[in-house]
Formats: sequence, C-alpha cells, structure tokens
Amino acid sequence: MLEATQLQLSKRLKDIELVLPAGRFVHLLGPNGAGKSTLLMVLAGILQPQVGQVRLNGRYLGDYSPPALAGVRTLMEQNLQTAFALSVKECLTFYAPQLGIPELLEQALEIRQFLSRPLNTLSGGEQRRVQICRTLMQLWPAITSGRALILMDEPVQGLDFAHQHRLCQLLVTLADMGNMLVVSHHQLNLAQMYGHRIWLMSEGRLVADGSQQDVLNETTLTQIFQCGIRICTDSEQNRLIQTYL
Amino acid sequence: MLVALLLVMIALSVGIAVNGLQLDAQIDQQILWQLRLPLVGSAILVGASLAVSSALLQVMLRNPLADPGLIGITSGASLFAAIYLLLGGASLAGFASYGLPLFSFLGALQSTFLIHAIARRLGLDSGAGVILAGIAISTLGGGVIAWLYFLADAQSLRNLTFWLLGSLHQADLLLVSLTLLPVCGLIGYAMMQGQALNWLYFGGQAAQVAGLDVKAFYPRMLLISALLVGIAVSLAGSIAFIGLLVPHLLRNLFGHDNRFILPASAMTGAILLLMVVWVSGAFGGVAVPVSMLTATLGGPVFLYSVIRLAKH
Repeated sequence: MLEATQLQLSKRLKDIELVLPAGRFVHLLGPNGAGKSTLLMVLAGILQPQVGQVRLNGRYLGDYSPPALAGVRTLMEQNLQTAFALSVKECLTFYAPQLGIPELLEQALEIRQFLSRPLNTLSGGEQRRVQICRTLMQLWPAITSGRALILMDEPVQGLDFAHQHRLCQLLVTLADMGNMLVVSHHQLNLAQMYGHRIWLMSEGRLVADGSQQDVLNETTLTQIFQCGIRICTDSEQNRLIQTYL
Repeated sequence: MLVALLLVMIALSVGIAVNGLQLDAQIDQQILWQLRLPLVGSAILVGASLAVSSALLQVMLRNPLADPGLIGITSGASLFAAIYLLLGGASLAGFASYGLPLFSFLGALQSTFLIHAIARRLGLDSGAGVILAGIAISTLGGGVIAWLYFLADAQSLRNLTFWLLGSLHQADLLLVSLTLLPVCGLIGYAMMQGQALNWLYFGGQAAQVAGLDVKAFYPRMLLISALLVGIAVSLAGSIAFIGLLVPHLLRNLFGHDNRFILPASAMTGAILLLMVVWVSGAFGGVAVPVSMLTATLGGPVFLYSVIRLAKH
C-alpha cells in the first residue's frame, strides 16, 4: 500500500493526500504543468517534499536505503537520453544484470529483435519500449512476487496503437499480480478502457480521485482541460471520449 | 582481453627499462634505477591516471567529450605551475625541487573545488553546465598563463613551455614511488564503482531509481578524478589527448560496461604512454615533449575511431 499525506513542494504540489492499495492500476491525468511528473518523482523518493510524507508498505520512503528502495519501486522518467551509443542489450543488462527479457514483457513490448542495435538508432517509439522494459526488469523479482510500486511518466508517448494497447494490457496483468501502478499520460480512452482508478491533477492539486465512471465525465474534464469533451456510447456500449476545441 | 592488455603493458615496461643495458655493470644499474624506472613508472602512472579520470568524467558529465583538460582541471594545475616557475621556483634545489609537483597538484585541486562549487549551484546532474563552467575556468586560466608568458624572462619562458608540453623525464624514483600507492588505491576504488557508473548512463535520476545514493557518489567520484589528474600533472606536466582518446576508443571497440572500461582504460592509457616513451627513444637522448607525440600518434587513431562510430 502506498500512502501520501499533505504533500507540499513549493508551487508544484499543494496539499496532496492519496492512498493506493495493492493490486491497483491508476491513471494520472491532468493538463501540462499540472504536477504529474513532480508527484511521480516524490512518490518514487527522488524528490523530497517540503511538507508531508510518503509511506510505502507502512515504511516512510526516507527510512529505506537507496538499494532497498530500488528493490521495491521503479520509475520510468519521461526524458531518458544518453550521449553514448549504448546497445539495447547493454541498456538492459546494466540495470538488470542477471535476466534475459521475461516472456511477459517480450510479448507486450517486442524488443528482442533490437537487442544488438545501438539504442539511439531506434525510432522514438521503439526506444520508449526499450525503456519500459528496462524500468520493469530492474525490479522484476519484486514484480513477479506482486509487491512492486511501478511509476511511469508518459510511457505511451510515441507508441503505435497496437503497442499502446499491449502496454496497457501488460500493466493490467501486473496489477492483477498484486503490484501498484501509477501511470501518467494524455489518452482519455486508454484511461477509460484499462485500470482501476483515475487521479486527476490540476495546478499542483489532486482534484479528483475515483473510478473511471466518477471522474471521466464531460463537466469535470472540460473544466480541468479547458477543452471541449464529448462522451458518447457506441453500438457495443463502449464509452468513447472525444476532444475538440 | 584485460589479461592481454596487462601482458602488453608489462612487456613494454620491461622492454623499455632494460633495453640495451647490461645489468651486471654498475653504471647500467644506475641508469636503470635513476633514469629508466622513474621513466617507465611515470608513463604507467600518468597514462593510467589520465585515462581513468577521463573515463569517470565522461560518464558522470554524460558527455563523451569530457576530459580533464576540457573541464579546466589541467589548466588550474598549469596556472599554478606557471606561477611557481615564473617566481623562480625552478632554480630551487634539494627538497624544494618538489615544489613544482606540489604546486600543480594544488592547482588541480583548487580548480576542481571551483568547478564542484559551480556544479552544485547548477544542480549536480547538469553535465552541460559543468562542462561550460569548466571551459570558462579553463579559458580564464589560459588567459592568465598567456599574461605570464608575456611578462616572463627568457629562461622561465623556456621552462614553462617545456612543462606545458609535458615530459615524462621530470619525476625521480622517490616521487614515482610516493605516488604509486595513492594512484593504485584511487584507480582500484574507481574500478569497484563500475556498476554504479553504468547506472549513470541515463543520468543521475535513473541511477537514483536503480539504487545509487547520487548526492554522495557524485562529489566523491569528482574528487577521485581530480586527485588522479592532479597526480598525473604533478608527475609529468600537462599531457593532452590521452584522456579523450583512450576511453572513447575502448567503448567504441568493446562496448560501454564500465566494469571493463575502467581497468582497460588504465592499462591502455599506460600502454599508450609507454609507446610514446619508446618512440621518443628513437630521437636519441633528446627529451621529446610528450603532448607532441600523443597528439601526432593519437590524432589518427582518434580519427579512425570517430569514423568507425559514424559508420555504425
């Protein structure tokens, strides 16, 4: 279980309270600059809040040693760049030395074909898939035993449609194993289709915390995103969310 | 591979040390102890220190172009050495003759602290910021040295020019043996940090996520890197290019794993300088400026490495 109380960080986070039980997959949504990345970094223990505390499985993040924390939580940053021509294989083995790519990850991300290529010769979406794989392999033992906290900052950015869905299915599977997932992105329909919960942020505050049914409605979204939002139901009773200006 | 490098290094060292000597003759024994061993020792220590220091800096600053010369550590040492030489330090004898190495060592440390202070203000993860600050410091140091040139008398000028081009003939056996242990200790420690350095390829935050205490690690490694450069500079003056060339070439040929790159850099750096010594032996007794040779030998190798990378 992940709990945060009264998180404050200058003007970026204001009085955030949240609880995330085991086995849940949360979508972190909100406009640019709402504080999504900052919140993820605070939850990962990379940034210290000025006020407030984060507890992971009952222990304050500050009480974990860096290696102990690395064994139970991972964070995929939004911008991961290197000036060196690392191969995909190096990129994976440096962070997860003892493993081949787990079959579950390979099915969703399909990166075995790139192993020998330098990372920076891959396309943007392919690089993103490698980074997702790296981030997850880093604490694969904890993930397989269902006690990992997985934080991802815009992992679907640049992925083609098939891989967006495969990724979401993978994340659902990981949540079903008992892991906690917080994933930020800008895809309202993916948020509608997959996962358990929506955290909606605006100007450093957590303005909504609830199920898709509660949070993803026209009034709330229109107000938060300053954009026209229309929700319709198709012939197979799927809710489709459309945006317009 | 590491074993092969080690063997080449030992073979070259022994070859250079005993070349043409008859070890049962008194005079040849003296040449061995007073001239050859300090020369070989300097070459190994300086080459290894510079290469390892650069390999560390390149990963930490996230820039394959970083080297102690570029980010101003060397120029701090050069500036202090220049001041020392122009104040007439070169004419001092006896124990005071170690003033020059000491001064340049202090210069290297001083500029490192300056760079580190600036780096802290910019945020430790800001590789580009640190490099720009280093270039500023380097330029400033170069400017002051140019002024000193302008104002210096003929003899000091010659001493200074010679020092700035680097020479492996400066250190005596005492200085080489004094620096042996610290250099081995520092390089040994750096080599054990290979895993942590591997995590730094995607920046400080990625390393922190992987379990590294970046705030403690970064200043510690910067200091190690500066101490190595400081020692190298005090042994042999300012030597260009080894630092940039060696890790770059090794990464290009054998991949990026720092658990391999660091020891391999140490040995390849040593081998390169031993080869410089060997080549300069062809000029008879003349002490050829080292940077002249590292640049002419290293330039083509570097170019090859760059072209190979571009083809990839």
